[in-house]
Amino acid sequence: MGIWLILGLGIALVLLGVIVWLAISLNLSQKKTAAARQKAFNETAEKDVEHIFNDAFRQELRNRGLLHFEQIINENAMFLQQDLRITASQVNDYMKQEIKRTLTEEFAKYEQSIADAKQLATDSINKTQGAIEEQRKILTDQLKQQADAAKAQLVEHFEKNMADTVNHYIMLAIGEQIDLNDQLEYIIGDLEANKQAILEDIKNGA
Amino acid sequence: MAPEPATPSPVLVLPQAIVGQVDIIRATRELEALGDMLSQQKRGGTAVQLPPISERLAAVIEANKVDIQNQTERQRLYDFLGELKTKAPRLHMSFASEPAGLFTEKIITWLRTEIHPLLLLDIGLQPTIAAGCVIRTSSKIIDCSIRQRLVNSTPDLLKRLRGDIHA
Repeated sequence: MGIWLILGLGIALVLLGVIVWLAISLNLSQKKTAAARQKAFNETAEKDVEHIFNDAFRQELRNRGLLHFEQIINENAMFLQQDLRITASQVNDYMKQEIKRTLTEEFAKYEQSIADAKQLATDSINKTQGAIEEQRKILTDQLKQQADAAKAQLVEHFEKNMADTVNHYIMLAIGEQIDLNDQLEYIIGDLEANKQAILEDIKNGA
Repeated sequence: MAPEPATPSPVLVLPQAIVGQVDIIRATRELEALGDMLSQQKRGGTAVQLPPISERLAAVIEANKVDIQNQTERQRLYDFLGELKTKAPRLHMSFASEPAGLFTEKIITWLRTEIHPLLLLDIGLQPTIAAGCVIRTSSKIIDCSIRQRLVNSTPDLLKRLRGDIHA
């Protein structure tokens, strides 16, 4: 039995090999045929192309191509112009927004700094005013004290010298109009009043 | 020549014309000069002519009824004036202005009537008095001026002044 198996397998293998060899040969032949065919086709095609695409046709094609190209270029230019305009407009709008935003921020900061400076100045002025008010009060009190002291001194001086002052004014006012004869009665009266004192003095002196 | 008989000495009086010591001194000098002149005239044998004398001396002579040609009486008057100069009680009164003659006369009359008949009054000027007088004796000063009255009245015046201010 084994022998038969081995034999069968060998035969299968040979058959398979033959088949493969045939396939490869066929393929190669087909390829050779295809290649030859292709080559023939190519040669034929070239001839036909040479026959169809002559110079005039080529020129025509060239012209059409140029026109189409110009058309495309113009369209693209127009699209580009539109895009540029749109872009420029957008850039302007963006710039405006940014500038506006920046200016708004800066002005807000400036306004804030001015308000702060104003507040500082107001505080400083208020402090200075308070200090000045205190000084004024102190000076007023001192001045009042000095004025009161001076007034008291003047009053004391006047009271101390009132007799001399009034005497002086009497002399200035009526000094030259006072007649001794008018005073005789009063002088005699004074002598009477001091008579005893004068008598005692003369008696003691004698 | 026989000496003239001594007459009893009457009490000599001081007339109002003699006010203070200055008058005494002037009267004394004048009396001395008069005596010298009369003595010379008598020695010369010429008729005695009385020279003009001041009112002051004339008043003394008249008040005391002195025979000026009598040397004894002249001498007595001279001695009297000399004693007055050294021993008479003196009073000094200052006034604001120069007193008139009548004023002085009345003052001296009162003083010689009430204080002493032979009192001599020296008069001074003190313009600062304004009114009244200042009496100075040998040991006292009596200020009767208006200034002193004001000084004495200062407390009352101040009281009234303060009362008026507060009112």
